[in-house]
Amino acid sequence: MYDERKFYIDGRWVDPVEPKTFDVINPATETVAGTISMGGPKDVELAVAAARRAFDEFSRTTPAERLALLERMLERYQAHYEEIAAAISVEMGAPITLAKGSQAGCGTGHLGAMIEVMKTFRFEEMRGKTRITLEPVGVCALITPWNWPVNQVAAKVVPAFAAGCTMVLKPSEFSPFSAILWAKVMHEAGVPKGVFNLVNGDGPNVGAPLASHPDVDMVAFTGSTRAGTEIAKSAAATVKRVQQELGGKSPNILLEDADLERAIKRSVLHVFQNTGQSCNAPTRLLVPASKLAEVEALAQKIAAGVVVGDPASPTTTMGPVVSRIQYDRVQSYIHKGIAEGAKLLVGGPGRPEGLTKGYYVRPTIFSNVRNDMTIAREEIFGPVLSILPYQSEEEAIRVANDTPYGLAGYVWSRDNAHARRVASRIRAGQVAINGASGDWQTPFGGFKMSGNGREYGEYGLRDFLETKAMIGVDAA
Amino acid sequence: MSAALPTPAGGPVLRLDAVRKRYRPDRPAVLDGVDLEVAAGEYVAIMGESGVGKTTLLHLIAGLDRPDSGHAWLDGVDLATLDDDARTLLRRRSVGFVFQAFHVLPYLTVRQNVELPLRLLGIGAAERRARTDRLLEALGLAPLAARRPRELSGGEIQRIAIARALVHEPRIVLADEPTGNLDPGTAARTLALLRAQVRAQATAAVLITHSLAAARTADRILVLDSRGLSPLEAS
Repeated sequence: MYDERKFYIDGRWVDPVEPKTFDVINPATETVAGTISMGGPKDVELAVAAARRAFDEFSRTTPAERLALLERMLERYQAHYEEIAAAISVEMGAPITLAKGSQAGCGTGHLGAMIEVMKTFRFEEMRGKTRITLEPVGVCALITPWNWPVNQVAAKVVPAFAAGCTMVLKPSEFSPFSAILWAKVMHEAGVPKGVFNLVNGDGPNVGAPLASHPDVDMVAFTGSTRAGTEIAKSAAATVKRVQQELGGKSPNILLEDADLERAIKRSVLHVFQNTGQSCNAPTRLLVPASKLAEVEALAQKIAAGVVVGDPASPTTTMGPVVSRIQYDRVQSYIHKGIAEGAKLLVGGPGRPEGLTKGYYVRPTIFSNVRNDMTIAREEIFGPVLSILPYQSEEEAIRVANDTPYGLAGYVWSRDNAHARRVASRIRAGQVAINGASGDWQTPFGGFKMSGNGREYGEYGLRDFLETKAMIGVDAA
Repeated sequence: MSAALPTPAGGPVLRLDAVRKRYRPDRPAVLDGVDLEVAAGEYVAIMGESGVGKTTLLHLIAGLDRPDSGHAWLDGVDLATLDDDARTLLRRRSVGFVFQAFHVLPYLTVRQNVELPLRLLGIGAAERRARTDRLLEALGLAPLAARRPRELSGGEIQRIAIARALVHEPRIVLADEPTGNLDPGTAARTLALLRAQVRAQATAAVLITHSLAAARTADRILVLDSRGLSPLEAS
């Protein structure tokens, strides 16, 4: 049982200004996993003031000093690795194998990548008589979600820190324990006081005051498009930079010449990974109509191998969704798919057989989905795949782009040049060919209503930098 | 696909004959020999304790799940004779669904939300408009037609759900706790509209509910327990 009622402000663990607690529910058992405090505007005030005070000195540290601190952070992160993985699994339900692998691995990945970037990144250059310097944007508000909790904390804190910014982190109230461990990592690494601050709470009481605070220079947010637009509106009055990583409904085009067996295996498992709670999940599988029957049979076979159950068991491949709200939301979309006449191929409403407690949903596949059905338009954020048949490649590309989102895309073909031609026409921030994975320096972020800005590696770092031109400087 | 065409016989819209469903061999059957007939225009409520198999029954009726034994006929067609594609087509054409947490599309108007099933069936614009107007009028939604869901109450949203379930003139409406999220007064008014509309369209309806007040809006109330379905009075 976690008891983490303090916030991390100005280098110390402090009580909230006004006591208010929140029980974090373990989604696998529906019992209380631990307790946190919920902050308010007064806590935000203290945290922003600490970050503002620390900025003047920290912004003038050298890249080499920050690099040394990043190396210390990586060392401390690795020391706490198992604890962090366990916290992720308990707070949001990821199977322990996933929590120890990809989920907690994101912390190591982002820290390691930024350490490499900092070894060579040039914060200044001369162009003629102009010296161009890249300087930290200022005090940053970092607001992160529960689905890949450490990933999104690391993808914001690490570049902000590397840039020389100071910051206030508000992690999701549904996944606070891994973020608290992250704060301990920073404290143990010797990060100067006030550089990193953490306030727990919800959007209205902590997120909104952060996003509108006059002393905050930038807001970096990952979450729903609805919340992201609210953040941007709050930030507009004081002209903050706003980085948003929002929703997705990513297309996955199987071209006529794709290796179907390999493509379907990777695609179906990607949608079901993390119980479908990934913003870049390939949830619209576009297949040639002539191959639909074959695809359906392969998809059914792969889905049958998914083991839904206790996240603590090493044989579990799919845990629960994060909360009752999310459970109801996913059920509603499954109902909607049925009501709108999609073909229910796998799964359906309700819990998997034998699971009576916990926010477990059935891995679900709809086929014969049309792109104007709700399940093809909206981000479900659950293990629900829509298969859409297409008649021609042009139609596939048109349907792939017929979405308000543009976070990711996927293309499969045995002919890499063919896949590249199609990939180049997808309006999305990241397009993966034949199931290839990016690395920790691959830029991540969306076109259209999937967001603004890019995260990871050097691109992530640049988002936290301002450009200054100093004119009339001697090159020497 | 032609095997999926419903027969226009005058028989019941829904018939279950000794339907049995067991999920795990080490546990008792969820449904053990359930019989049911629902005629066109008839409105039947099915009540029962949580976990007794009401939702499983609804899934079998809708062809979303298959019985281990026994048969289910929907609109004269034995569901066991249909493959997944044919059952999907039959469902799309002949069944309307109303669920508890009905999700309406926030960026569409009330009219566009109600019209969507007709667009998905490829029905032309003029007929779409006529049918949508009729339903909006019947359910008291006409003054709200140009509004978006965020401006509406829970009861109004559930009326959109009912309109959407009925607009393609299905042979049967399946409703699973359709008013579970509403206060008693709004629930009663919403169910009265559902009842009036299924009667006007001669659509059969099956209402799954925990609420006796909701069930009382039906022509017949059946109780599902381990022995199967029986009339409320006999239970």
